Amino acid sequence: MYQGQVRILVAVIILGGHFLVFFAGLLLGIFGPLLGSDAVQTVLMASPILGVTATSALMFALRGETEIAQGSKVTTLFGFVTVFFPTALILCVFIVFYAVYKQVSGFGPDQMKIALGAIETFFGVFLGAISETLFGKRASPAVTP
Amino acid sequence: METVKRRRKLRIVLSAAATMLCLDLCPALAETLYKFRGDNASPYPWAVLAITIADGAVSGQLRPLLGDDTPPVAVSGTNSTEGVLELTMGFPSGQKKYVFKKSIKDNQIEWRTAEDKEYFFRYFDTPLSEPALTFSQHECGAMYKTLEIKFSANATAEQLEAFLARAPEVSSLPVVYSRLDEKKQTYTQISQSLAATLREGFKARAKPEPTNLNAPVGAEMYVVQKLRRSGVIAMADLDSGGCGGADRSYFVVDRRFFFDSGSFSQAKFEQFIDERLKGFAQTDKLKKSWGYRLGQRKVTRVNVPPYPSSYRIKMYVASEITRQVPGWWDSFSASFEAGELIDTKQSEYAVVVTIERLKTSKRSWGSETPPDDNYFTKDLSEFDEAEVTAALSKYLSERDGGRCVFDTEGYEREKHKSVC
Repeated sequence: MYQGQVRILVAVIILGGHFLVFFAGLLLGIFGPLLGSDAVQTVLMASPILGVTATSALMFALRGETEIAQGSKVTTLFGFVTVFFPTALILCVFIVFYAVYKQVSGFGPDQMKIALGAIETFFGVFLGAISETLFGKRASPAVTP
Repeated sequence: METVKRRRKLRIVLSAAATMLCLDLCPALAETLYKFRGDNASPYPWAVLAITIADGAVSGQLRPLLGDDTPPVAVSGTNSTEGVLELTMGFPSGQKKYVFKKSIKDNQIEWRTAEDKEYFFRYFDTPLSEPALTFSQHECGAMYKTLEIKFSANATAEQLEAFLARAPEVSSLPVVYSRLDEKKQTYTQISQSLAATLREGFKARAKPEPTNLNAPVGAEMYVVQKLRRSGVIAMADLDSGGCGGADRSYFVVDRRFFFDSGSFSQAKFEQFIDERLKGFAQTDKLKKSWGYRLGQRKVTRVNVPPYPSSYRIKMYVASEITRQVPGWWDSFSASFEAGELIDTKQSEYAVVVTIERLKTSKRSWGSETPPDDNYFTKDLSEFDEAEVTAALSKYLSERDGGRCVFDTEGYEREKHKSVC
């Protein structure tokens, strides 16, 4: 797998995931047990890390208006780590949402907020590093005449 | 021969004794009891009018409420015209004459003076119950639970202690006392024994406000009668209070549902409530079935005659059933306290319904069972509690051909979906 492919894949996961989390949070307020203020809080709590990373991914996507360089080949571990953490973050948020939707015993709106906070904190470090590595600004490549 | 004569003598003696006994008792057996409101010699606004009407003549007594030792007042008069009673009451302060006219309202026979200051009534189909003969009836005040007490001006602390020692079952009765905070001018509800409440009230007896307390439903009559006979109380009665919404919420059903061999059966009461609650919680008015959950019930027996029971349970029910509002689960604590009230007939028994701590949780689409307490985050108003109380009382009474009473004073009646 090449660097460019990983960037595109992770950018799609993060941008798509961010959109889905936002949308699912709103649906939780409409069809789920969350009241209006709880639903808004949930969306706001589930968004920050994913939002920051999604912004970087979006900037990356916008920068590649004409072409995204394929770059060099990356290791399997690099590919796994950069895809796994954003995917795991989104899955964890969805598991929390599902548990709330199904009104699982012992897991109410208060517990959901704590869980979302914990997830955001845990994954924040990893996604920050991944975002910097994949979508951080680089020095412009030398223009060859 | 001697034996025959002796038997004949015995028969004559017995016959004479029976005749004398009848002369003494027969008029009493024929007397009719009415609840009387108006001037009377007792400290209470109500009294018991016991009269016999025979051949146009009226005789009888105006007696105090049960437990009060005010001497009865002789009553005499005439019933020369149908629907008119002319009564003379021999009060210690002098005789008073009244002219009463008869009217019929619902299931009551009422007699009123032209000024409507004096009035007495009885039910068509049943004699007045013992609570009716014990308590005053207030238009707005309490019908159960809340009592007001005034101490005698010359009562001593020793007399109070002697009474408390004489009546240990009354002394230890748990009550809720409304304690006034002098600085904030607010009342705080304190759960304590009746003895502690009486001691506290006795210390503050110089104040114009009576001592107010909440006694267990069903035990009020015994407590009040005991207090009236204690020698330290000038007045003990149901709280004359003020009008307030949802102060009255109970249903009345036939006694057979709670009584076994003539006495109150806690087992039958528990069974009745258990079964009816399930019925209430599982189907709405459109006959749609819903999931529900009933918590652990707690049944307690009050340790004074007639040993009434109270049943408390946490319920989780669809809002379509409780408030007739779609899309929510409601959780609340329901208590059912059985007792005889002032307006229950001798064939009936009442159950006071109280709904507290009503919370709600938005229902997830497709959810079939109520969630746990973590999801019940929204507190509902006392208006909603009133709605649930009325719905529950209505269901429990209608199902068994009874009736329910719910005071909507202060609530917008047209907004209520369940009205008794």
